[in-house]
Order: sequence, then C-alpha cells, then structure tokens
Amino acid sequence: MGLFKYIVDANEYTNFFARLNLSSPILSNLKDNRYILNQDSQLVKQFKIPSQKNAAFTQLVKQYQEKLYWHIRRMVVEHEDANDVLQNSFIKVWNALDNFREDSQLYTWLYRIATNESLSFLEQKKRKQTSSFDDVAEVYGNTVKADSNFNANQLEWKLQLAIQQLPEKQKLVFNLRYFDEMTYEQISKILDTSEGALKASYHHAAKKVEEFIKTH
Amino acid sequence: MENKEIIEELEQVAPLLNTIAKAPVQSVPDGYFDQFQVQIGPDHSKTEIDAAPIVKMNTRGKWFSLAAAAVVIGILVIGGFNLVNQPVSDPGMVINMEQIAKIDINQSVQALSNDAIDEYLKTANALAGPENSLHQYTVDAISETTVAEISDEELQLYLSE
Repeated sequence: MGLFKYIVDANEYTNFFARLNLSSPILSNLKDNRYILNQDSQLVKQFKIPSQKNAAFTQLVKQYQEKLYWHIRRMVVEHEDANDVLQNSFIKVWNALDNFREDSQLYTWLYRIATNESLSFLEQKKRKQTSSFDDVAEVYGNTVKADSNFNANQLEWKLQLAIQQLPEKQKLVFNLRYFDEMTYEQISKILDTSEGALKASYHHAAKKVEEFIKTH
Repeated sequence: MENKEIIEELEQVAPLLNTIAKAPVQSVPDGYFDQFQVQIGPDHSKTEIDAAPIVKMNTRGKWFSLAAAAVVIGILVIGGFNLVNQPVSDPGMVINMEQIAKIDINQSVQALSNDAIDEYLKTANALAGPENSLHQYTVDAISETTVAEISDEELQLYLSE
C-alpha cells in the first residue's frame, strides 16, 4: 500500500483519516493493523533497552497471551499442556527477542515460536505413547469430550471433534485460517509453506471438517 | 478485508462452517489469563541449566566404561605375563645336555638289566614307526657288538647332536 509511505506513526495515521473523514470497515481494519504493527515495533525497541526490558515484555505477554494460548490449546487440546507450551514459548521469546529482526512481523514470529513449541510437545507426547495416528485422533477426541463444558449436540463442539480428526499440519492450517483469520501470506511465514499449498490444504481440511459435522 | 475473504472462501468450500460461532468453548480455569505470568529470571535459567545433567551422567558412564575396559585389559596382560613366565613346577624335568654328556654310557648300560633294555627298545620301536624301527637290534647284539665298538667320544658326539 503506497498510502502507508506517508504514515509515520499511529497518531499521524489517525489524524490523516480524521481529516479525510472516512470510516469504512476496510479503513478501520487497516487502522487497527497499522496500530498493532506500530505498537509491536515500539515493544521490540523498548525490550532492547535494559531498563525497559521487563515492562516491554510484560506488555507483550498481556497483548498476546490469549491469542497464543488458544492457538496452542487447539493443537495440544488439554489446558495443562497448553499452559506448559505457552510458558515455554514465552521463555523462547524472552531469550530471542533481543535478536529479533523487524523484517518479519512480531505477530507472525510469535505464532511461529508457539507453533514450533506445540509441534515439539506433540512429538514428544507421541513418542511416549507410541500409538498410531488413529489412536492419537481418538485420544484427542476423548480429551475434547472430557471437557466440563462439552455438549455433544452443540455445533461448536462438533467442530472441535471434527478438527481432532485432521492430520497435524492440516489442523494447523485450518486453525490459523479459520480461527485466527490469517492471510495465506502470514500462514506461509509461520509454517514455511507456499501459499498455494496452504490454500489447497485449508480447502481440503474445511471439506473434511464439514463432512464430519454433517455425519456425526 | 480478510474476514470477508475467509467467509466468501468458506461459502465456496464448506458453507456450514460459516454458521458456527468461533468463540472458544473449552473450559479454562477462572482468572487464568489475569493471573498468567511467565516464569523468567535468573532462577528459571538456572533451573533449565540444572535440569540437563544428562551430559554429566553420560560423561560419568563413559569414564566408568573406560575404567572397566582398563581393568579387564590389565587382568589379561598380567595373566598372560604370569602364564608365560610360570616357573617349572618340577625342576627335574629340565633336560641338561651338559650333564647327559658327562654320563659314562658303558657303565650305565652295563648297570641296566636286559628286561629294561628290551622294554626301552619296544617303546622306541613303537614311537619311531615301522620305517625307523630298531627291531633289528636286540639286547644281546647291542651288548656284544655295538656298545663295545663305540667309543665314549663317539657316543658323546652323537648325544650332543
């Protein structure tokens, strides 16, 4: 967007659109994204200043903990596991943020770390269980059903059960696109996969999920 | 707008999914996000370092293996050395050629009984085999001809060969 070349920070951005008197949803969304990017950039800069490091990190955790938690929880299913993986992810962030280069977005970088931690965790868990994929899907399904809020007739829960039937990579793509509403470009940066392959994977996963919900 | 794109995309692929609420349904402990804290600091780093004593255990195992191997090799070497240098249990078994050479053969043969010489010849024939048999010699023949005609020097020379 060439338009953004003239926008230096969030305040300037807000003033710019206020003068134009535009309030369409598209511009509002662009404004939010721009604000987040600016805020992320500020956080990274603050983190690199020793006296502001802790405050910047606390702010970063507050800002992303819930999003990352749900991203992880959708993968590992159990709350205790999600909590452990989230802790490890933020520890990785703490250790690596000094070297973070702003040629990628902080948002996608955080998701990448959380994704890798989730996959490592699942790999370790699988090795301990030494069970086949079908068994793993069944185990995850049973964990979903064990939730105190579970309601077998509710579509949202059927959706959760359907997602557990997907292979890990498809599950990741589906979650990032469907729940986190990311662009294929963003998902591509997180998973290191071409946008075309991601699109095919998402469509395949969505059809499978829909089919499962219809038949269960 | 991405959200609109996603809805349109799903409408083509799996429209049922557009009718489902995306808000999380799984239970989370009360106040989890408000109380969530990342445990970072010197203590945590220390815990992480301490939690990896696997390297130490491996090193100890390696030393133990090397020490065990050294002990086994030591036992083999010492055992082999002792076996090679084992003292002869019966000193009488050592054949001293010089002492044999000094024996007075005629006197010794005279002292032997005929039965003993016959027994010796039978044993010698059996050990030598048919080609080298000493069967042509008898006690009488040896006593009458061979021994009498052989000088001490010749006998000593023969024995020293």
